[in-house]
Amino acid sequence: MDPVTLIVVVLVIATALVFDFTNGFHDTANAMATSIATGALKPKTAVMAAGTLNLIGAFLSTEVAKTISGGIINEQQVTIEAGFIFAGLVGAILWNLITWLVGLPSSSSHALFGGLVGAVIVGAGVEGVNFMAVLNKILIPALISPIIAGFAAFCAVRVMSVVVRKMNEQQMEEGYRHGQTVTACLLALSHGTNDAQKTMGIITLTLIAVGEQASGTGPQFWVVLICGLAIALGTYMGGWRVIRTLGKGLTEVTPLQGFASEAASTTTILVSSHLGFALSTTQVCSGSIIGCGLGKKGNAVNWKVAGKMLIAWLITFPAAGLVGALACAIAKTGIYGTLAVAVIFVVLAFIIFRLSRRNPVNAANVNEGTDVKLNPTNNAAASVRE
Amino acid sequence: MQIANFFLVLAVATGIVCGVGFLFASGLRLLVGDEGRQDQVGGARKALAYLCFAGCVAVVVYALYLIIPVFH
Repeated sequence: MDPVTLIVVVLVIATALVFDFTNGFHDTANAMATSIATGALKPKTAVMAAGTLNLIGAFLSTEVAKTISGGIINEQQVTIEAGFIFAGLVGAILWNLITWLVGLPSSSSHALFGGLVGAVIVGAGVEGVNFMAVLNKILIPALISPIIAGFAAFCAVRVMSVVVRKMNEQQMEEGYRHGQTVTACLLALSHGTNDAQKTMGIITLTLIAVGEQASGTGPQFWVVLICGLAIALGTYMGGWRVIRTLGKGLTEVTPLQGFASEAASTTTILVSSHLGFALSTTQVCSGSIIGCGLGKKGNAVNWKVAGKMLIAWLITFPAAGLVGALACAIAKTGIYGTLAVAVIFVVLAFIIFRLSRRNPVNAANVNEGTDVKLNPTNNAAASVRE
Repeated sequence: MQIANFFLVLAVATGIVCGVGFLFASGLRLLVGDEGRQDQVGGARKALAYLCFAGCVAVVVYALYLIIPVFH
């Protein structure tokens, strides 16, 4: 392998692992937000359990997808170069970091596909993108998956509320907290088996593309290990800003509602996967939390936050695509262009991290407040709470 | 996703979640009893409660079967 190719491959692998890490901390909220909000699990215990289950999940399934894009990119017509993957990953990571900063749950898969599509359009032309697949696999599921999960959670809350209406509330809530622990762990395990695969697939295909691995072979053990560790570490770090939005920002979740929400999310994901449709975990979980909020009489849903989430879902794909396209435009000028993208990416990531420190959200204050604000005037209060 | 598939996923997911929710809620109520009526919890009610929870466990086991590809 020549030195230039080696540099690009190392960059792609490193960036893929950073994406895996952001995927983990962005999606911790999906499985654990309601359990943390209801007190079923302590925040640190929840992220530790989610991280461990994500790591286990990464080893349970090593069946890498045949295509990294699920048919969204016409991989038969265009050759996906390592530079495209790098640019796409940069777009996905930056979008993940931006949505994390503002505490909005968004689909890491959609960000990845968006970044790749943007990079491919700039690198290989629009014929490289299957726009019907974009419609069928991104846009339509983004709109209907929250409806499915939300309706299931809504019905479950209504059914359970009728059954337990004469019970002592304290005893009932204690029972549901135990149930929530099981449903949250199932959701975290399911996440681990699915999401770590994406990064494994990217690294494996990069190694195949540069001739370091035979075509048609699965991921090597070290690839499985580092991807599992990256997503587990990201999950353990806990995307507290997103956890706060999902657990406290959408509705006041009781243990019964948390149980219904997590059960609806797990069931919707498993049923749709079993029937051959991949739905975004983030959108399913957010939809089910809204559904469980609507299901309880007199309970309110913060539609302002829900509206922001919907906008974030809809612009995830094009926004990540735009960043991916810009990154590809610079990266395709050669190795110095690729290195320039890497430097710009690191600087932007650092700026986002610094901005997040203005209003830190962590395990200690995740259940305080109802919305994530980026208001510097809250610094003093936030610091006191910490 | 076809519209028919959408309704299929919606129907199956809703059915399963409501079923599990009903079993779990029934199990809890049978095990603990109504407020101020804890005396009503007898052996038969406890047995029924554990049967409800067993149903929930069966669904969890089936979910694990679906999650872990080695099993299928």
